[in-house]
Amino acid sequence: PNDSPTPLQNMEQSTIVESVKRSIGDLPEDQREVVRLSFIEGLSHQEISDAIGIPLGTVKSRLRLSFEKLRHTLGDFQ
Amino acid sequence: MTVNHHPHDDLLLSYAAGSLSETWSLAVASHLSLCAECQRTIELAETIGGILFADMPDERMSSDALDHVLAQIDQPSGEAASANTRLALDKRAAVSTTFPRVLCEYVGHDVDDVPWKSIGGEVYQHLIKTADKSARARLLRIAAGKTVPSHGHRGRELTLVLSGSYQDGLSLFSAGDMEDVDEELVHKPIADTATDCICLVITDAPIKFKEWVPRLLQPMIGI
Repeated sequence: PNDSPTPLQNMEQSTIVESVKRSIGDLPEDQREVVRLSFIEGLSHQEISDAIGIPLGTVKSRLRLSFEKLRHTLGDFQ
Repeated sequence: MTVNHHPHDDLLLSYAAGSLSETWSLAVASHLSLCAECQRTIELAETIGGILFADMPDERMSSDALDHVLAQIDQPSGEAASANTRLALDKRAAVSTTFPRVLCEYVGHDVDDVPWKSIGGEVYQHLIKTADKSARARLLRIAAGKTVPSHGHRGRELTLVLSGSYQDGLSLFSAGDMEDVDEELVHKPIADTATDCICLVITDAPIKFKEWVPRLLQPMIGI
């Protein structure tokens, strides 16, 4: 059962959040943009391609590259 | 079951974001029910999504948004906010099925009573109806040892092996594996010789068969 988090857990969670935010900020703008359009705007790959006028393949590779980096950051905390 | 082949990250990311359309989501959800590794990937993606939302300008977020994000980190996946076309993985214990449960719900049958239709060469298919017309979903059953005619794609093709296995070039795909292929690849999967191979196949454009005869049949068999 999960009682309210300990001060240490709170600190760890804030560290995770800050680390991920930093990694998102460190992404090249074009990668950050496709991640944002996916999550915040809920756009499919085709919709992203149409919205910002880049090929579908480019959308896919930017998503893969950005996820690779972000997962790596989160992976440090697993 | 050891799963060796997975969908590419862009598909998993979009699924986690809720921005993947229904037909593709069906394939990803089915694979997830068989693959613990990809379930963890989805959890990671959801955590990232939660942090993205928490980082947005204040007027779009409620005051306890950050608490919600932190709670997500502790309890991923099950409590994640579902979005648009995201298919919920049914984790309740109920009637056990051979096919992933989400797939059974779409097909309306389990593996033993799929109404197969022959499309020639000991290959059978069953088209799956979805509301999303951007892609086609079908179950494919290839008799042991048979070859799917050589074909290229005009788009992406996902193949989830449900039972049996097939060889594609140098790689072996067996139950739980998902082959995620883009349009450059021309391939000719060969079913394993021991048993029939049953797969869920999603395509986003008509398949271009290389041989003359299959191309004639295409309108009739709905590829």
